[in-house]
Amino acid sequence: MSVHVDSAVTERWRPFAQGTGLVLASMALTGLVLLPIGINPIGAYAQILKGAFGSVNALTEDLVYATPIILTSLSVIIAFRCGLWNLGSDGQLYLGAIATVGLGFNRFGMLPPVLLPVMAVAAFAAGAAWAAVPAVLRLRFGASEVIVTIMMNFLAVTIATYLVGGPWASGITPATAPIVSAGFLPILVPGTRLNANFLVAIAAAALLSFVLRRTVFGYQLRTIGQNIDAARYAGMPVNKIRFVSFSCAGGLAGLAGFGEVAGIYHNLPNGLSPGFGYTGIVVALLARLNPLWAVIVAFALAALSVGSGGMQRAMGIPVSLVSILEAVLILLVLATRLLERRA
Amino acid sequence: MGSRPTLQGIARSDQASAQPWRFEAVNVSKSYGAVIANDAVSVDLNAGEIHALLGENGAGKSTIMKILYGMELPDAGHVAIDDTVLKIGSPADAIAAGIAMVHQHFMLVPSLTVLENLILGNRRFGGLMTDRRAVAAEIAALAAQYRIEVDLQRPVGKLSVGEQQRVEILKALVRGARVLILDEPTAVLTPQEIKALGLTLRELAQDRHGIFIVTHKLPEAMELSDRVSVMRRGRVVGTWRTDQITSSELVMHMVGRSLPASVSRPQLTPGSTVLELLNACVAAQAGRGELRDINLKIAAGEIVGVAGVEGNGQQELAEAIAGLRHVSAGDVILCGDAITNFPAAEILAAGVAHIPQDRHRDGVVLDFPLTDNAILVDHQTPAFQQRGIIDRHAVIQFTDRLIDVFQIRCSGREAPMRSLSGGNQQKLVLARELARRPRLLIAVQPTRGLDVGAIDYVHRQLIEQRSAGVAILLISTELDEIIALSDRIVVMREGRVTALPDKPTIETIGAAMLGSADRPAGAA
Amino acid sequence: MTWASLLELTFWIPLLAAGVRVATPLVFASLGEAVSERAGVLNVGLEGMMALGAIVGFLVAYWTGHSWAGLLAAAMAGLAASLVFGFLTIFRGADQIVTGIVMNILLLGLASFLYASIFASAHVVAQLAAIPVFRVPWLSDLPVIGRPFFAQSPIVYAVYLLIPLFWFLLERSPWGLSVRAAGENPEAVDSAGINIWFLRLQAAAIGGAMAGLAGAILAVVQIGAYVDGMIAGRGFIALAIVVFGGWRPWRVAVAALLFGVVDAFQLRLQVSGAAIPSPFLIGLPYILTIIVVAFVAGRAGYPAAINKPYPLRHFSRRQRKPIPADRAAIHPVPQEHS
Repeated sequence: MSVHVDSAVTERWRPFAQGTGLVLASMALTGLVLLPIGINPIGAYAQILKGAFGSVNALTEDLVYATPIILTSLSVIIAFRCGLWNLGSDGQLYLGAIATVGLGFNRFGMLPPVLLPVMAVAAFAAGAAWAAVPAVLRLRFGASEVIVTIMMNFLAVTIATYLVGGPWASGITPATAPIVSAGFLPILVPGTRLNANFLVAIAAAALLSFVLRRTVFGYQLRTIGQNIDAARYAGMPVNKIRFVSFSCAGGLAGLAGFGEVAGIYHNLPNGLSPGFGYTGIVVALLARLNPLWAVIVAFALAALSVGSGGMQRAMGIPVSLVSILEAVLILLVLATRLLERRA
Repeated sequence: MGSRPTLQGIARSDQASAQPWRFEAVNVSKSYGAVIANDAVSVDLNAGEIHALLGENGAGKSTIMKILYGMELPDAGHVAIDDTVLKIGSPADAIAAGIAMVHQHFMLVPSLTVLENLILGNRRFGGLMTDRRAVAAEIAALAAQYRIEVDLQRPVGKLSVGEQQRVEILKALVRGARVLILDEPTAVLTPQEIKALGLTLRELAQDRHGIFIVTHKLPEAMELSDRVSVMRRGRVVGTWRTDQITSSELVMHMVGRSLPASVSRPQLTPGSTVLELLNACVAAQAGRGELRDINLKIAAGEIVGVAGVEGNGQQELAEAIAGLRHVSAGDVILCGDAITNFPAAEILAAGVAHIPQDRHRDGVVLDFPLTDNAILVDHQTPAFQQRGIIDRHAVIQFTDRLIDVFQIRCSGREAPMRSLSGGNQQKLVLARELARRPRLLIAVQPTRGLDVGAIDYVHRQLIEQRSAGVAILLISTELDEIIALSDRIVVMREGRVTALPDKPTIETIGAAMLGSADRPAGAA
Repeated sequence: MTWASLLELTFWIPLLAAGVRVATPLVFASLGEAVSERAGVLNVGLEGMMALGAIVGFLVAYWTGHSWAGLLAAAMAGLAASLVFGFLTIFRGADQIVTGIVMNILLLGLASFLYASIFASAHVVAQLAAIPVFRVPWLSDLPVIGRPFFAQSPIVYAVYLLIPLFWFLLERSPWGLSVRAAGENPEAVDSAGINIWFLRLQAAAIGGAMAGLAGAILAVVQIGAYVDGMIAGRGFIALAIVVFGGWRPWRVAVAALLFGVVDAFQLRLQVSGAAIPSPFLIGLPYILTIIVVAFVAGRAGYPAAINKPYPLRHFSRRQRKPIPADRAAIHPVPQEHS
């Protein structure tokens, strides 16, 4: 330290420098798995960048892919901020999708302006109800929500697979019959798949950020997450708030399922979620449980996933490289204890 | 002697006990972040000696003892035996050197039996084929030698605190320790149990063991030790032979000035009854105590002191009134209205303020800034929120006022609570609770962990509240504090409130704390 | 199938046999996890470690042609993964649940990546030769229990040795005593002169190796192939089994057997085309897990120090010329005395 540097400036930039260093280090470490199969990691990463940002269509696809991830990460965040693990956003997403499809057939003959909002509300409610089960089991019986939410994920996929193959089968594709066109979400950029649910996700992030920072509910939720004994001492309705926030967590994930069905597929395909719930956990951790940062991190990871699709097509490298990269990045964060959050 | 020495052989080991030795820490320094816990501390101990290390909470006594035992590593300085420098990097090193420690919080595993606790980590019993019965017999013989009565087969979790302490001492002896370090050994004992402990220690010293006693209680240091060292703010102020120094001189050294004259308590006629407990009971829960048939009245402008050995239901009493424990029978009445089992929020809103015993755990959120901590209890009052939205401006003003009025030292209202010293954290809790203008104040151990100046401040605040007509329930294990502040004193033991004779003295209170019916089978 | 057949031994004996088979990997994973949790290390990454064991065991068995080599390699792989996990949680103080979840993402991704990149061009699913059943002479002829318990793949017999071994290790050995203490009061273990961090790492390593083995048993011994998602939540089910079994090896084994039988039962009902909708059958093990976690064993039973890192000691400056403590002991240490 021979040169005097304004410490405020270095302080401000340090997280970015550290973050960049961690990303580069995790890319280098992940690259190691490519060497034995004779692939130059730099080439692979270049393909990812090209696939992610190489065209307007790629950019909108990044946003399309980011939409459910933003919602599942918010789902993880709201639960985590009051001290609970929601590993079940994948299953809650499926329930949201199932509710959306079920209403989207419009067997009750709802009018078009009513149908979409009803589908969205039902998706939220279905996700919330699915999350309420582990919440109740945890709050009433002390059952580990980690295990229960994971089991609920498997159950949700089982139910979805059953519906696709049985009662709601379309006959040809491994997907249900399509929903009515009145249940399609509006497209934001013509010719792309970018739909209105992206705006819903952004709004949800902004709303959650406001609720956590400025409202009594958010204050109580944060207090419970930081120090549940202090919350009890201060007379907060601990179980009620935990229940509400965990249900909301399910609802947010349910909205992700709504968007996938009403905005993208217009039916319920097998394997609807390529692990959006788990990516949501990664995003929540990297964003240090901040809803606004989650939007940015979700976009970055979505771009990574979209780009890896291009990499797979161009070079035959499996897309699972991306989950390795994400996991290595978080493990490095844990090992170096950078980005540790306080408050 | 045979190929394997017997335990008695090691403990009595004629060579070992006959030779004089000198164990010392030389210029040991240790800091935690910005806090200097030990600043060039030197203390020494000779064979057959009891050396008391006296000082207030936070003076650095526990730190130096943990360094001697290898649980903390010094930044500078060293530990030596007879001028040979020792490398003590872990408790294993300390044990190998013949040093043992009885911690303030016992290092016992509740679910394991006494025997299992005694042989835990003991290399001598480490073989797969160790004959447990032979080991038990050896240990029983050793216990008998020092007249330490304990059932080896009982789970430690079922023992009384005094018994657990005896297990800890026995553990040290089983390892053949010659140096015993006891950290605040009397904090959890009744006066009678303290006497028994004294006898055991004297016996050990006569057997050429060396003993360090860490304590903040002056009378015990005077009574138990041969030599006494005083620590203040991380430094050793001096070391004296106990019979050549007086208590008042030691106090001067401990606090750097004489103790303030005890707080003056203006005469008041108590007002109407604020709190009344009628046959209140709390059922025992896993790991928590119970309350049985509590009857208690506190009037406005009255301080009722609750004395007792820690863990006899005091915390449960406070929590039951504050709505944190379910009252299984009986009534809690506040100003004429039954508030039994009301939600905690309603009880707080009805004018009850509560300074919890464990401030770190219950009273503050360490990772929140001061602002968020200032409104912890009152965040739902209209002063701080409108329609569910928190009024940041009001919160900031309020926090600044608390910081200003109570002179809380911090780097600003947005500083995380964690960055404040313990005393200042406590001040914030006190400031917050008093700002609520309560009708009833429950103060549990309100001065624990504070320095003398801060204790004085808290005492004066309590008296001031009393003058303002607040009913105060003061729960403390410090008898001096109880006697100095209270209008009336009751004693808690095993979940019951025991009445006291008029004009209680330390002795009568002590007898009530122990109970006359069952004196524990003591160590002597 | 008719409901009446439920009353006959011809239904129950094959069911029990299948149950023992299905339970075998669960027993491996949960025995190891019980040791780890007893020391205070909760390994939520069990699922991923099983997946790693499955792919590594499969690849090594495929290349070498020896199943046992595959199992050994899988154990090593699981152990290596648990060392990473242990380093982060024990030595770096990382949250065990966060780390475990991320380990899952890493290892499931890695397993999928390895399989996809190595068998990318292959259009047929690579298959291993099955390990033949070994009938234990005499014992396999016992009525009722002979076939389910003694006419199985040799790996099942390993379970019969492992259960008492783990029981002795945990409940009777001095090491087990330290492990149990580490999960309840790590400070007491430290104070007793035991290296608490290394002890916990050992326990976590046993858990990892056993998880790796469990995955390999599934892939190499029972299915003879690797498929993405083949662990199918068994890692989490094993976590529930450990809770259900109260962290005691014998009970854990019985709990695993119960899960095995239930899984075998639902498979049988599905195959026989019972009039129960299939999602309820497929979901049965998951539902059973939820019920067990919620109603049989609450949070209260966990070792007290689970997911509580024990802080490391730090020197801030070098010490000068210290000598080993035992050479200057105040008392003659036992060894010198003899």
